[in-house]
Amino acid sequence: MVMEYAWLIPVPLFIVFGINILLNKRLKNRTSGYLATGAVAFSFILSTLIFISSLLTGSKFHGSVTWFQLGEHVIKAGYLIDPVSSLMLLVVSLVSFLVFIYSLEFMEDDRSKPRFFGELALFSGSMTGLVLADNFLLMFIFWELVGLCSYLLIGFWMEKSEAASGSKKAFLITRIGDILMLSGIMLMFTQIGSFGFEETFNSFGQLSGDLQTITLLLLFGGAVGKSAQLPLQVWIPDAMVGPTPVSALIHAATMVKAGVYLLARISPLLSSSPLVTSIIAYFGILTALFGAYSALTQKDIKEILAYSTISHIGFMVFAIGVMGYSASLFHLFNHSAFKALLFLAAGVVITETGKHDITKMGNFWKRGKLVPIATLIGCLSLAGIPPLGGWFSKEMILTATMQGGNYILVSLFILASFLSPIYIFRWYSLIFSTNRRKKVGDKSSGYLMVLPIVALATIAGLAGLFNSSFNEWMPWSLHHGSHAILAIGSTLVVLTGFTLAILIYHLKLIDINRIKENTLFEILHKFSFNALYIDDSYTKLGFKAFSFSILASKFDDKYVDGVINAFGAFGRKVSSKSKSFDDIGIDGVVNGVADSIKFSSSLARKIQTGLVRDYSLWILIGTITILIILKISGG
Amino acid sequence: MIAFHFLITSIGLVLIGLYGVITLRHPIKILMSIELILNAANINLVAFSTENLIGQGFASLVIAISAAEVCVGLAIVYNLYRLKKDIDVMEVNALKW
Repeated sequence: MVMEYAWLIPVPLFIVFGINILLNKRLKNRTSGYLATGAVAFSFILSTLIFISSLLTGSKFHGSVTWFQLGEHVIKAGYLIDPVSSLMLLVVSLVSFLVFIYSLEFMEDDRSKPRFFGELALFSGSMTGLVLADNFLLMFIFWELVGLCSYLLIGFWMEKSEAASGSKKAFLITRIGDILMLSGIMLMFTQIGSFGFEETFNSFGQLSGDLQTITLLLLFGGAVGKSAQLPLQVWIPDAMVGPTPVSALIHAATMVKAGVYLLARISPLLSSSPLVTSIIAYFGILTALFGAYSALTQKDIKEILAYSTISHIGFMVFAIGVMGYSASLFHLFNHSAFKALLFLAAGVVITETGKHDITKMGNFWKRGKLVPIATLIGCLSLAGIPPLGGWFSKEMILTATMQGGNYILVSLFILASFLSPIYIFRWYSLIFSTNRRKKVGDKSSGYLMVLPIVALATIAGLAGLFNSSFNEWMPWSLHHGSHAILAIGSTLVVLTGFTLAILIYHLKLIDINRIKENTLFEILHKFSFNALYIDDSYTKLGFKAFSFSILASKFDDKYVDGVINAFGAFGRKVSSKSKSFDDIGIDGVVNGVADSIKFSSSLARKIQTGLVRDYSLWILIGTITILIILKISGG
Repeated sequence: MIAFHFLITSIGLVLIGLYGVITLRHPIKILMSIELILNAANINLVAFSTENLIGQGFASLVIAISAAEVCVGLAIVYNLYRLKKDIDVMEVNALKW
């Protein structure tokens, strides 16, 4: 059974991390990259074998050892292989593998390559560990490691100040979610006495309804932080300052998917609480709308993709909320493929043109056809154009929503999926369209950067074929309803968006500047470009808090410290008086006694010469004196 | 009257001996001065033993003991020399505080 060896998946990655960090500069730049790629290739092969065996047999495997004992609770650590985790393992290790290969060339000239590949290996290793974990505590440890790695890698070019502040922001904001998740886990532990998934699922029903709701909301809070859902999404656009392969990893495999994975893991608990699932659904769909709306007007090539990720993770969370768990995971799989592909393509564009602003790009189609065609496949899948994977997963989510029967959610979902093709084809046209006569750079990318893109395009293109078998393989398969009209309708909506984007940005039949003159659209444009001012208002709020703390510190300085200082000064005066009394009075007496003894002894010691003759003289004198005294007194 | 002369002689010897012990720097000379003091006592012992011979016997005892005492003294001087390569008593002040 290959599943028994699943625990080996993260091990080589951690070892490579250790080697790269410890040897660091002593390692040749090339060697470090090959080591990391070799380790991730091993993880990828093992994950594929596990995935295949899980796909064929549909069996589960759970191995664990005793970790430590806490009073009467024995805490176990182990790994759990079921369809969900084996799929995640495949996604994580596949995307990591391709990103590592891509990085070999992308980071070619970077001086700190060993550090980069070491941290990248730790990143992938922690994520596979998170996926493998069979209990909440172990999962949380890896969860934190993933957060740490994202901090390290976003701030990889730490000499740039925006990289340093972006990584800090990502770390601190995801921390809010982590604290919520930790309190959820601890709350659950106090009630159930175990961290294990299976034990928790078995005895969760015994808790009171309110406690269940609170626990689930806290765990969802963790997912909100990690997966960049409203209102904690502000770190994602700032995280774009990291190297492009890192962005690809964060968005496609290792970071933001962790939240969705957590929700999929606790899905057996969610089905018992309709309140929590509807909260999750609304959070998800609002995030999806927000992300898509903000992506419409951004100018940075990577920030559009970042907002698109927010939007698509929103779809996944929404799908969890409407109990379409397999739909959510299928969308996760598709998103991993096309988002990694788009980020890697963006990396190629950035290295070749040296620019980030897409309004200054264009004509990139001229530079070899492989990358543009691959990117086109990714964009079509993201937009949800049939018959690509993205279309199937969106239809699955829609079906799940219809089963819930909430038409507000259905219409919001269709609205969000209407926006996807518009922003992504704006992105695509501005970069690649030959109608824009822009100069392109003359640097070109080697095969190490192009091959992963082509591989991802193949996966994104073919993913749709597996949608029904995927659905059956997952533990909670969806019953395909007959919502043919709705399916056709939503597809038409998506196609309308697609056509609109082509008309505006590629063929330029509709003049975008004319639309902008309309005041309503101008306001909408402003709100979209500034991402609803959420980030700015956080900053303002932060400054308010800051100025209040300045006021508090002034009060502290003036009044609180004043009283304390007055007490201190009084004490100093009293003690200085008592010190002078001590110096003159008490010390004077002690020293006087000692001095007088010293003086008298200095006189007395002069008699003692150490010479026998002197002593005998003194004896003689003494004897004579005694005799004289006796003579006088005795008569 | 005879006793008076003996007493004068012995006082003279004692004073000479004391003077020698206190002032001389050579240990052998100091030993000789001590002999003088002892012999002054011997003179008195012999001079006043008119009734019987106890005083004379006592004097010969003192002579024997003083011989032994000189032996010890010389041994001390010899060891002093071995220790310090010098026998000046002004250098021997180890009794000092």
